[in-house]
Amino acid sequence: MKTNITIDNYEAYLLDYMEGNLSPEMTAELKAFVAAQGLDWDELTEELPHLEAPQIVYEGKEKLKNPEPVEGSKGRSSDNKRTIVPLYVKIASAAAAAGLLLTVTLWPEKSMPKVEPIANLKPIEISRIDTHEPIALLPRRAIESIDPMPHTSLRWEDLLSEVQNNGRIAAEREAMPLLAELPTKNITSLQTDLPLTNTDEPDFGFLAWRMNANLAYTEYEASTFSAETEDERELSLIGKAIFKLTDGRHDSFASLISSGLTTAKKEISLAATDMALAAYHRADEHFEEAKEHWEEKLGE
Amino acid sequence: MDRSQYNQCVEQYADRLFRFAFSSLRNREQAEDVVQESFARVWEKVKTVDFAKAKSYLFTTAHHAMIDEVRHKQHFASIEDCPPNELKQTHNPYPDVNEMLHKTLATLPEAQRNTLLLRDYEGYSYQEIGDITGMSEAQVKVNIFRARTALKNRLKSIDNLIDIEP
Repeated sequence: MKTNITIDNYEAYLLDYMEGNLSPEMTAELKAFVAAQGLDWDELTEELPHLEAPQIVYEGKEKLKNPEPVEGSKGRSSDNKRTIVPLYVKIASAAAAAGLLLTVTLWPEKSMPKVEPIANLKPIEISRIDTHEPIALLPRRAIESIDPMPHTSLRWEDLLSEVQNNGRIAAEREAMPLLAELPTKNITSLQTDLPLTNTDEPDFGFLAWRMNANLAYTEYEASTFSAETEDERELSLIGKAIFKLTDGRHDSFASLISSGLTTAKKEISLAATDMALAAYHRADEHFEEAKEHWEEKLGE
Repeated sequence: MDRSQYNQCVEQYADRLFRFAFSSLRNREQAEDVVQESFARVWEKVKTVDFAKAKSYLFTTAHHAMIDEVRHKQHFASIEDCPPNELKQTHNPYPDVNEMLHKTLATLPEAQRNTLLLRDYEGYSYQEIGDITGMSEAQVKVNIFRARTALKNRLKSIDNLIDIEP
């Protein structure tokens, strides 16, 4: 059987070999590949060192225990209990102190330059029907029924405003062709086929942006680890993929999907995905269909 | 997960999480920030995070926080100036060869460093490390193989140096 040993993955097979997890057939194939590359088999398969874990004690354990209730306090306390200040807040403070975040804040929708609403953007695919169905016409009743993300003060009105006016939408559009492939992916291909490596260049604008987006990413992480079914797990991976594909520009349409994640209702999230994609592509007929489907799922 | 289980998580995993962050970042203050950040996130999600999966959730959150810390450090290096010998300035938990390996570890790319730490310190499977870091299992193995090879080459270079000395 011919396998897919390449210059990019042969080291993974070498590791399997050295750990005794490679079949004789695969070993023969790996040896042939190594020889063909002009590499030294004996040198490559020399014994490799392992790290010995040191005993380190974290001295702040007691301060981490018994934090304030989440709801209502948001990590702030007024008594002598310790407040855990999230890292992103600390980073924001440092950045502000350095005078480098004058134009961006933790909530970019309030400071990002306003751009034209999505309804005025040109369609990605000219062949598609160009309606002017703005996302703002999403059924308000349905949006109202979505709980705001518990870790933020973001309310449905803010979400609506975000979707209508945020400058990030223009950037998100660039990722839509990849996003459109998501329904065809399974768990394995989500992890291997999509460019999940974050290659962003660091800059202060992105940093502030990411601080916001990271909150959403945590939603997906929580979903992954609390998933009890393959469907839920797949959905959380879809969320992660959206996050990665949009380089953190997650919150707008993906917030709708995230809201579905929060309630662990895959049907709602997938329906929202369809609707968002339809809106992006200005496929009027499909949008109406998707909207009806979404409403239907919300009503169940 | 309830409050009692959350406290149990702190007791069981805070040291290990700190060790992971400290070994990767080589900066005590940043490592403490990562630990606090990770537990803050767990507490925010305490009702939805299953106790049995809390450790993985903590390490995943810590991993992302560490990536942000590294980028933050790059940005603010001039005003925060992380001391390169942080390990020496605090305490030295790595004797002899292990110390040298950990110093070499600090020079490795982030992905290699973190995957190796998760494997050797925490004993995670390659699939679990992939879940934590967002890599495929093959990518995890490639990174770990390269990290170990770099450590091996470092050991060999030291051996050669000793052989040359009279």
